[in-house]
Amino acid sequence: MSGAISVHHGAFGRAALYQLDKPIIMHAHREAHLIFYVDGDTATVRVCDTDYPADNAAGVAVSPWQPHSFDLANHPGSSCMCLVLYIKPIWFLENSQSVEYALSFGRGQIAMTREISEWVFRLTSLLLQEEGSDMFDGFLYEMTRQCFQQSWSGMEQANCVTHARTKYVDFRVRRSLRLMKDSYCDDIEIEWLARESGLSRPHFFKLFKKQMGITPNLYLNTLRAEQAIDDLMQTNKSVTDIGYDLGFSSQASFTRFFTSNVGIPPSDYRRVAHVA
Amino acid sequence: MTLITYLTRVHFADGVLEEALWSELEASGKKRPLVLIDRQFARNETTERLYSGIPARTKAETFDDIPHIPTEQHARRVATTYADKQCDVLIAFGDARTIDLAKVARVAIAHDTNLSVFSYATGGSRRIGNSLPDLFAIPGISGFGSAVSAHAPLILQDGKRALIMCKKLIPGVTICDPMLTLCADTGETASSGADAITHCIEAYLSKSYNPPAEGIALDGLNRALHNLERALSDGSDIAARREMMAASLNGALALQKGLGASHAISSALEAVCDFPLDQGVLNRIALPGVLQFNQQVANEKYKGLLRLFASGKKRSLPEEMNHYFSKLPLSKRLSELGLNDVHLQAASTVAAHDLATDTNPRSINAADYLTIMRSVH
Repeated sequence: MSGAISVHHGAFGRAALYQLDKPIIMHAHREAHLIFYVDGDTATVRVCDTDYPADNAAGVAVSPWQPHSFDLANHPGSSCMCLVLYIKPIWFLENSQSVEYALSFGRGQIAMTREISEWVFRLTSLLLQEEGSDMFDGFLYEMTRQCFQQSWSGMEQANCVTHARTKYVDFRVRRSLRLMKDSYCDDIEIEWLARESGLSRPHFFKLFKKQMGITPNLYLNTLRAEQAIDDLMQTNKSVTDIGYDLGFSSQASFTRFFTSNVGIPPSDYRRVAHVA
Repeated sequence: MTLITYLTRVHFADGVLEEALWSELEASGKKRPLVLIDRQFARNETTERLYSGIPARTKAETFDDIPHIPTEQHARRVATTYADKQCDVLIAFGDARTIDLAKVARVAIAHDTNLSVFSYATGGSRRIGNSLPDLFAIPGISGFGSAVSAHAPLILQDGKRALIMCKKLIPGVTICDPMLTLCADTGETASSGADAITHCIEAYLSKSYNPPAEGIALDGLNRALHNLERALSDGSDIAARREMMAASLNGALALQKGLGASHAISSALEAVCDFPLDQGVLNRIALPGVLQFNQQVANEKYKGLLRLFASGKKRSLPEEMNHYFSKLPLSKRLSELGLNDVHLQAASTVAAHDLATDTNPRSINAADYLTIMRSVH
């Protein structure tokens, strides 16, 4: 069964060392995402419609809100140890010198140069330590910066800004985001969302997907998964109560949801995760 | 004035609004923000961006009745809404009117007494306590002077004007997102540019000793002079928009050094008129005449300013400024704004008592103000 070896939360976002033997379904999050192979079976990460290998030669970069899924490259029964980083764009921005905001990667594939391999090794070692390390944030920033630069190398950086400018321009989509944020614990019907946003269901679906890159359902799942992680880390609520509060009818259905979206069961996450 | 204070936490980047607001609210643990926003913007796309930056399980309330100048009544109404809705932080989004109202409302929320007791003119600054609610300011194309400064104008219950000034009023967080200015029209763009240029020049020339502010002012002026035309000719030029926002921010940060006669004129005309006036337009009209008036005492500093224009022409600073401003799509004379000589006479007296009069490089009185204003009427 998939499990977490270590999860570390900090101002940067979160970093996890996962042992995965099951796929993770298509999902998205507001953080930028870097995935590196560490040991075991190799994996494939699908970002939007493109498959990227995660192995000794390459890591995978996923921009905020890009839909992606994870699968093992080979046989059932094998497992993959990987370093998974969720980086808050605002943290990266505050630490960087750029004013052209947006931690969007140019390419999804990150070549494992000697330097990047060394950063992966160092971060993995720190995650395996019992004690937290003051060096973690600095290491993480440097590696993210190198991955960011590599992903844009040879490409037009202005695309970054163009991308940010064309993102979420439609106020009706924004209104639907607000509605979802206010009521993601309830049983939201897309029909209702579309109506409240002033659009027909097909038009709403199409416009949302075009502007956000993901479906409304995937967005709702992201909000629920984020809240579940917050509750696991910051409250003493039982896993069952967290699931109920998020609108799940049983602990089993919540655990299924969490495992398929985050990669590991919620109880496992709470057990190994720690906050800096 | 030798106290140099830079306290504001500023986020500045393209498209940073949502993430910065989200992270600041999350970090502060605030769950019930009261958003101050003019109702004319309440349902546009930019506003939806603001609300997208409110984290989950955080419920934002809205106050949208924004007067042209903050009044005690409006500040009390904000305070009542804040208490009734159990809010825990203020967010002011938009222009100076909105951010100034939020600053005055902070005092009203923390104190039940009449706001007249906090007037700067009667030594009220020291009566402002330490329990003011937090304020996050998000200026758009304008509003920077309010977003990073320690003062706000106010019309008291009895109709008299007052100024409240205290460093506790400086917003705790200011979010500057150049993308918020992409939808501004040429009039708004030119006006905010003229405002930034005036702030930078007057802060640089003001009598106070504040070297960091002078450096900030010169940098801001340089950015504005070389990017305003670009922003006007192509409103979607994000690099030009970014430079203009930086110029506005610089001008606002520099104005703690003090301003000069142009600011005194524009504030005074606003005070004596019963219809709204645009500060940027007033500054555009007043500045060349004020530069002419100050020339004999500020000649050395004028040389430094002239170099930034880099026009290659043999013009004096007032001529250079006039030439630059004449290219902007803004009114050139006070009469075009509906102002008459009665307004000018009343404003000249008010201007003579403005704080900016004290820091103008050359001593100036009501008669001088009237002469300058009449020359551009």
